[in-house]
Amino acid sequence: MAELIDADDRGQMILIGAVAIAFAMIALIVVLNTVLFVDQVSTRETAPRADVASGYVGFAQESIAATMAQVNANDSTVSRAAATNRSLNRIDDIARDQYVNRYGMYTSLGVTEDKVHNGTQIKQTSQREFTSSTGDANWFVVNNGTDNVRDFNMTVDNTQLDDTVTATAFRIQVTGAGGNIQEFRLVDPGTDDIRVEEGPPASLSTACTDTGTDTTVEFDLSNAELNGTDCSFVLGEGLSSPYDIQFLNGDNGEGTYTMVVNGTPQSTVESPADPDSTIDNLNSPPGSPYFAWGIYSVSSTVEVRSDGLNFTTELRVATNESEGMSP
Amino acid sequence: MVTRVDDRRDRGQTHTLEAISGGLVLLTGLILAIQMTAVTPLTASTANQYVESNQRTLASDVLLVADENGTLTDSLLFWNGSGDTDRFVDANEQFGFYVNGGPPTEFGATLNRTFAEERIAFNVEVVYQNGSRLERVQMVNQGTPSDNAVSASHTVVLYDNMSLTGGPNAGTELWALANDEFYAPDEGNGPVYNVVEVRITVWQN
Repeated sequence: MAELIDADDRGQMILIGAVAIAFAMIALIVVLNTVLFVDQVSTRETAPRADVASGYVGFAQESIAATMAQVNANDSTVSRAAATNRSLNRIDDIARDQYVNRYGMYTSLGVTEDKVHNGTQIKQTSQREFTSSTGDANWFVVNNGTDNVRDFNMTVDNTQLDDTVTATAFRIQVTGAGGNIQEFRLVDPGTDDIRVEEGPPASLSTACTDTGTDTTVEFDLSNAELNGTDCSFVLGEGLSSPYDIQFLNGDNGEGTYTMVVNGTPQSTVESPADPDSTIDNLNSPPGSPYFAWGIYSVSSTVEVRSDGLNFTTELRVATNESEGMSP
Repeated sequence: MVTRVDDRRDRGQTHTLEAISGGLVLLTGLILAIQMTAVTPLTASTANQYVESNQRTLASDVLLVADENGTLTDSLLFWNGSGDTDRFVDANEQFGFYVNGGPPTEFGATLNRTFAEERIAFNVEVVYQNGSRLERVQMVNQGTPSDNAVSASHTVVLYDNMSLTGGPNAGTELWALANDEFYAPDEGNGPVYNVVEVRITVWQN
């Protein structure tokens, strides 16, 4: 009889023990879930601060580049470096107010006038042969060297190009230190086609071909694109500064072009005695190639600061500068 | 005699265990009751945080792409500032902003494709400098954001030579407009006109 009672009690104890363990596990799960939930909620952020900082760097690059373009294009008789500096300081002030108001973060573009670097804009804005202002077919667009070129763009009328690859085809030569040459030859081998060949003069190879029907195509040397098609070259690759740029057989090509070169190299384009008067020419530019002073690049020390974030980075903005020519 | 003593000990142990189990049942019930809340699609949770993060990224990307292709600036300049109708072109006459979706511009179409078609509500406001103060103009207002709304913003520089893209003064450059013909005044220096911040707030509808 006693053995029977013992067995009943033991069974009851095992049953109750199992129930107790089951509830203990449920309680543990509930507690752990609470910890996870609280952790998730407490780590929420209204806006990740690193994202705000990187967004501000993007804004800095964009606003500096746009302001450089505006100042270069604007009719102004004042110093372009001073105008660029003042404009960027104003942008800096307003943007800082907005970032303080929105995120409680201090921002600074960090531009001063001595960080604005002058350059020279060389342009032919009216459709004409690629000859000099005095009609020379072979001439130096940039002479006595520059250490870099940016925004080198052309529009080319392919009906004016040589049909075959001959010695008279229109060519652009970039000459680096020591006389090494990178040549671009533009020809029109078929109906509406335009082909760019690139390399040292003795061994040119096809870099890209445009087979569209447009008679005028855009040739972007800085980004190596022909009417949006990638070309297999890098402007200035294999050469070292200083660089000269020469047009050969300019009477076998027609179109427009613009470029901004670093510093103030000599050029055989039209150059009035008073450089400031060239600035006014930009609103009614002459037909022949001409140059005007401009901004080549801007350096800045961008800062973003807040509680727990102290971000500083150095920026140098020179849009569409060729990597092959970087000093 | 010995058997009876053992029985009582076993029963006492059993009662103790029953009491502990009962306590655990009560405690678990109490914890569950305290934790019990109404869970809705908008309740904060790991999943909801993921949705919010996605929406913030979407809003930020929309602004970036629109700025890159120029459609954001085009919409900022889509202003009707003639007489007493100072609002974005074709905005709701009663409220002065768009209420049924984005503006009738490419940027507005992008907003509608990205958010409205996914049943995500959005507000767009533009903050600009006026003297020493920051002021704002509402472009789109689809109601009061929920507690789980997220926002993204993008700063854009307006230049003097940018032209209005709509309204009676379409084509007129900003520098040539009278003070009451555009929401933001000329606060710039040189070619700069003003600097504006575009804020998008989105939330699940």
